[in-house]
Amino acid sequence: MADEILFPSQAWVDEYCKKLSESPDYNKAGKGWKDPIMFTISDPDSLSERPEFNSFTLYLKDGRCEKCEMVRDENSSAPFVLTATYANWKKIIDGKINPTQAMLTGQLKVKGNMALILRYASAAIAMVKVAQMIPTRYIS
Amino acid sequence: MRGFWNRLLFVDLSHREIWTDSLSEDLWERYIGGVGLGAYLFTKYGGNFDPFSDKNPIIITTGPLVGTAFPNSGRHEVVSRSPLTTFLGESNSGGRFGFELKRSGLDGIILTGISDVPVSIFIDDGEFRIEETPELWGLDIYQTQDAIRKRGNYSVMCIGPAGEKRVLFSSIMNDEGRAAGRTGLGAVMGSKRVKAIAVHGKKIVEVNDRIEYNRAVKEASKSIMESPVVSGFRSYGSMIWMDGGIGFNDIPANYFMDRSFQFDDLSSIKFHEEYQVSSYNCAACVIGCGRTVRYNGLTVDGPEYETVAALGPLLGNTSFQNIVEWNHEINRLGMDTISTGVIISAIRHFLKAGLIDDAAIGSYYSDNFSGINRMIQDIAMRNGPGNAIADGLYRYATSLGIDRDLIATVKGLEIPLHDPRAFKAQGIVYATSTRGADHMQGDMYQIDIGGDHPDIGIVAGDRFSIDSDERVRTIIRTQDFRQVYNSLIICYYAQPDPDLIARAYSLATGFSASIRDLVDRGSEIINLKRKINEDLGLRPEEDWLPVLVRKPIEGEPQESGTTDEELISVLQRYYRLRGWGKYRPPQR
Repeated sequence: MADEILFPSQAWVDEYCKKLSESPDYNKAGKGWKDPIMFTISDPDSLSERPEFNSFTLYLKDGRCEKCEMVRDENSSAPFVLTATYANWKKIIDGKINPTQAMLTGQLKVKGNMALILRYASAAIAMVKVAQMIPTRYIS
Repeated sequence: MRGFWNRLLFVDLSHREIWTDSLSEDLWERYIGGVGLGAYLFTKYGGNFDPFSDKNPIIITTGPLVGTAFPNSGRHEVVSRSPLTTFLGESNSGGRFGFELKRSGLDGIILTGISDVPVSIFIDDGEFRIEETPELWGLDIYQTQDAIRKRGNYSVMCIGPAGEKRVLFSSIMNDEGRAAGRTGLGAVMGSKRVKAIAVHGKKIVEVNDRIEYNRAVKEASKSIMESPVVSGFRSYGSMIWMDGGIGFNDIPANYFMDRSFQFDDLSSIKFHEEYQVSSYNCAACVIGCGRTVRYNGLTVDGPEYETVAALGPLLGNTSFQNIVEWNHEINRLGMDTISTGVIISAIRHFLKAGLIDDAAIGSYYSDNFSGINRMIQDIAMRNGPGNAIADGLYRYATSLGIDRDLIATVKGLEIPLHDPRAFKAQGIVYATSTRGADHMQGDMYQIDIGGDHPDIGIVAGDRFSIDSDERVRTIIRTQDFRQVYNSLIICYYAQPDPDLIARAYSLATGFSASIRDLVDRGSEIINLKRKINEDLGLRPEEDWLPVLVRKPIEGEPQESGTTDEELISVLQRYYRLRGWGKYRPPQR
């Protein structure tokens, strides 16, 4: 079994970005998408092990991940910001909550054009499937 | 008792008499208001009479929160025997009419009899009169409202030519394009020769505890405005589901046959980018999902989700221009956009499948739908082939010998645009609802994406799972809860904490009730409506869903389908858990 990678970490995000670009499902479903998305953990202080960074940004374009970065500046933003508690991110990645469902019910808070992100519901599902391919270690 | 005036307006059109009367206090408590009160009044003043007879009443009600600042409570309910389904018809609408009616010092209106000439009813802050208005007969709904508003600052409810011609799915429109659209109650109003009801009111609705009530209003408003779904409705109107629904396969295409459609063409984002769109709120609304759009130099009502989905993918039409034009035309003539859109889509499918061979009807669909506008007018005016279509899809299709399993209706009401293969529990709501296929009697598509309320037994579940007591209990509880919404009356898009709704109700009326108490009353209201339907001739086999919307679409999960056996098993559970043990599902 491959070594588990901590979520979130630079290594996890690098692997995620690479695998997104390699995923035919995501390549197809993400076609037409043009904006970077910042993913944020809303409750890093409540975790047993505080992650080095509580946000990362993926530069997604036309079904590929062109670049990724951990976000150092707490004031930084992106055209789309998705925020959830660590527990909810874990549920989303594990497939226990559908990402569109999480957005519609406020478990995943969206800053940005809600209709546009809903439109890419199949891309969101493909992104979850790609995340599930990464051997992930979660903070307990 | 507060929150009500205990004053109902009675209008006997045959004898041109008008008076007010009251009810005993326990009835206001038991039936809440809105549809609950309307169903009770139907038992008192209606019965098993022809929908167009002088004995079939039209009952218009408000609710205890209507006329106050409680968010999204500016609504009214219309109840009568439906000429489309022949069962109890009900439909509620936003705008300002309900708000103004309540503020005029009335809780509702009961129309009986038939006038010998076209009339309108005017209500001025509690003063009322019937006027002969033959000059309004024949006008469309916008012309009618304009003509009446020249006479005063009125909110107007009216019918269009379709209601006058008794099109069986004609609507009662108010405040421009708001509609009590479903079950054809516009035709009942037309049969009574009532063109319009105009109301203006400025009385303050007294509540039992003003300070605490205002606090509850503020909390509810804040909670609604913070909802992520509401931010979407505010930005894109209900049409946002054209973007949100595709992820769940909730938007049917080509008369429910498949999903081969360019949904990108009808994105709510595209609509808002390409058209000059403005938003507006109904009375007391904190969301503002209403839309107007500039079209051909006019400002017209913008289409809602159901209308876009019916006149777009369901029909196989990718043009927003067409949808805006047809929506305006259907509204203008006073018909239900859902029923009209489903019927137009059905007939296109029947033609393509060779089930109809009629050149006159075929011509409506030629040259990229260039004849649809004419088709809408022919239906509304009952011209030529439109006359038979005006009797609704079920009557029209069965008259042509088309298999019932290919007809998108339940109890004669056309199926709305949430696909039972996306949310199977929605299909059970369609099958069991007292008014026929209806997403407003239980919104399982919202519940199963997480908009649930576990404290009152409404628990989100697997959207492909229905055949368990746990799932059926949630369906039942959702229907009961929505009776409370339709009785208070609150818009479904406003979803504050249910306890807050009960608190507001208690503070407004002085009747102490928990949300569980109210939901239990919702259950009694369903039982009452079911009993009324039995008296009107309901047979158990009417609780059914055609194969058309149960057969899985190619390429989609097999479990999205519902077999006859599964449907029968779920209906058995439903009857048992409702305490309707005497019912047996149809054997197929």
